[in-house]
Amino acid sequence: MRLRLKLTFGFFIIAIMLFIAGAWSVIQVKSTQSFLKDLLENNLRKIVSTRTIYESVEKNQEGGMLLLLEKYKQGAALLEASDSIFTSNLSELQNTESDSEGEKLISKIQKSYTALVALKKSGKDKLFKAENSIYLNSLYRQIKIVEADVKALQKFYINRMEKLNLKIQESESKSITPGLVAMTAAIIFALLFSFFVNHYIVTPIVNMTNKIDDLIERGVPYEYDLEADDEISELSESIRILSTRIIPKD
Amino acid sequence: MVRLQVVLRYIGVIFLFNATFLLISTAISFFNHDAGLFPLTFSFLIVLLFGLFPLVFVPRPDEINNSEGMLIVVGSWLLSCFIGMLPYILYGGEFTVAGAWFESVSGYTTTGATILNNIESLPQGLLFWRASTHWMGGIGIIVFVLAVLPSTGFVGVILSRSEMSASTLKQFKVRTAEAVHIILYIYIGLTLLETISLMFVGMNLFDAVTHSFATIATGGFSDKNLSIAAFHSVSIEVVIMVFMILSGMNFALLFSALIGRITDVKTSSVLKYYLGANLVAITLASLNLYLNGTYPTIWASLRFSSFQILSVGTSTGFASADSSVWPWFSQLIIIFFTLQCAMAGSTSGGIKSDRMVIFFKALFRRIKQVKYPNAVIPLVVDNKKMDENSISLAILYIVIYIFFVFISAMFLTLMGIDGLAAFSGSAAAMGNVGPGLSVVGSLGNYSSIPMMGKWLLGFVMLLGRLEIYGLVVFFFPSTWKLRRQ
Repeated sequence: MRLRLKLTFGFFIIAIMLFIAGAWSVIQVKSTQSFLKDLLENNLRKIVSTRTIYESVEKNQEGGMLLLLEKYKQGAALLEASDSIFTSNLSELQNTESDSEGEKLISKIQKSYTALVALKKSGKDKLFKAENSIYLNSLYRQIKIVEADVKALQKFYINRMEKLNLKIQESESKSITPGLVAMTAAIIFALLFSFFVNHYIVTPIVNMTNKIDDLIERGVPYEYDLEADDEISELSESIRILSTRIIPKD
Repeated sequence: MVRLQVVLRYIGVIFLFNATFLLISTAISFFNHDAGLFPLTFSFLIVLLFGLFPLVFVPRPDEINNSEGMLIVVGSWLLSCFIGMLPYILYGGEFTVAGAWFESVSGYTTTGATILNNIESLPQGLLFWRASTHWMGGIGIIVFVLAVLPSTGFVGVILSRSEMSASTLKQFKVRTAEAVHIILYIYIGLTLLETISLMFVGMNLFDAVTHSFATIATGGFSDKNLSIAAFHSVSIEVVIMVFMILSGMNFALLFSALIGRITDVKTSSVLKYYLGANLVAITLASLNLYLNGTYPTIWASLRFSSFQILSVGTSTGFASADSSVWPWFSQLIIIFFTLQCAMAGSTSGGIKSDRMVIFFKALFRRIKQVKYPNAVIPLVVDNKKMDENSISLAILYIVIYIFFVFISAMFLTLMGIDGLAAFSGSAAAMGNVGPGLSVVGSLGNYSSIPMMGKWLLGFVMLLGRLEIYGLVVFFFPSTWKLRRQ
């Protein structure tokens, strides 16, 4: 193959390796971005919503405690206020959740909370009079059930976030590794390229120069066989022919 | 004197051969839309470019010398193991750099030991690449390439003799180039036959191909976490056992059998020893397992002992049961076969039955000579009188082999690994068997081995695959005396 092509090929390979490394890193950074988007837009927001739901359950608990302490008006007011926060946040979670396990946990909360609301409604009169301590106990138990369900959802979101975090770490490592591999490959390739350039271009030129010097200074006939069949070997052959013409053989 | 550019040219050819299998693996990943696509594509491109470049620069030489041949062979093995790491490193997951080195060397040297806890989570393209490294390494990367290339002339002869011993090639009773082709035909033929047989007994195409690659190469990589035990099928175990026995036989004997030279097969003392030793070991282990109550019936004892002993005795390393829980007697049988393995001229590793036959015959001769000091007793193996130099070389090899196993085991124990795991793991790595005992047992893996241990065992696997001397000579500075232009 011609020397020009060989050199072009060498540089072309280094360029390809660096291009692959760059392209790969861009793809991986994009995927890291999508994970981050998922983490921020979905999971983090959901964790905040679940936290708000949990707080409203705590308010329910506080309301229940006030009722037990016979502070009926304040207790009932807290119970009612927590409802709207709970419902709005839960419906937001319902609308945005696509994972089947998440959907199951949300519907479980929905069921236990519906039962709690029904319990609250059915005993409204009893509440203010505090006639029925058994009723208050059952109300408290139901609040605890809702609390446990909300905790389960919270745990689910935290686990999912940890998994996403691992994915981000993996994606980060995946975006670095190809770059490192390509750079190492490019360095090894550059050494290889340098070896070939030295062996097939520089050394023959140096040897030819020495042989021409020998010819000029001591009249040693020019003879030099080259491994490769390229421009350098053609040049060597031309010098040999030239040497036979300008210096008589005898 | 070595021409480095010529060495690089032929290693380039080996790279292109590797690139072909990377391309097939990439295609599998592409059609499966799996996570192996990018790692395999990237690795393919790098290996392709590195393979093409020396071919572009270096003109084809008319001849090569023995030193160059040796450097090409050892260099090809070493560099193939390095490029084999690329898809694993780029994939990530359970693979660290040391883990990728271990898995890659284990693949090419047909050891079959793994660092993976969850093999089934790997994408199919990567699983195929893993199996391909076995298949490429099985008959030797150089032999494979020489058989595939149209004509390599004198260069091919030098390379073949650098990869396989001259005595192995002579057994074919044909020219070296022809012998190389025969080996390839037998290799491909056995692989095809096993694939069809496995599909016939219920395996799907992908599993059948990957398990055939691993069996015929006497490798042992399975794409199931529980290896062959995952299939719960006696017929699959029987098919694999038959092909393990065939793959552990000298290919020259298989060739003789195929062309009707039955006398060669009948009179082979090494073959008799290979089959006889396995038969005796299976009988003893079956009885031991049954009487010890490891398995409830003699049939179950026979089933599991025959598979495990043949698997280790042919250096394949598949598992149908956990031999780590077997009684000590059976475990010691496993250790003996881990050191010995099958016949020379096969894809098997280890000390090899041929050297064991020479060792035992030399031992009996020595006993006779004690009785009759002046007697001249020839040592005959496979109808050939062995010269004293060959006998010394065989015995020296056994000694050096066990010495290296001990050295490796000692280093592993220094890293905090228990003695049994260290010794059996080192023996399994040196013999290219795969599973050892204890934590590195047949249903375990090498994930718990520390990073340095993985590098060490990878090196030991290469030492065993290149039959010690090749790799040792490679690192001698005198081997690297370069010729200037």
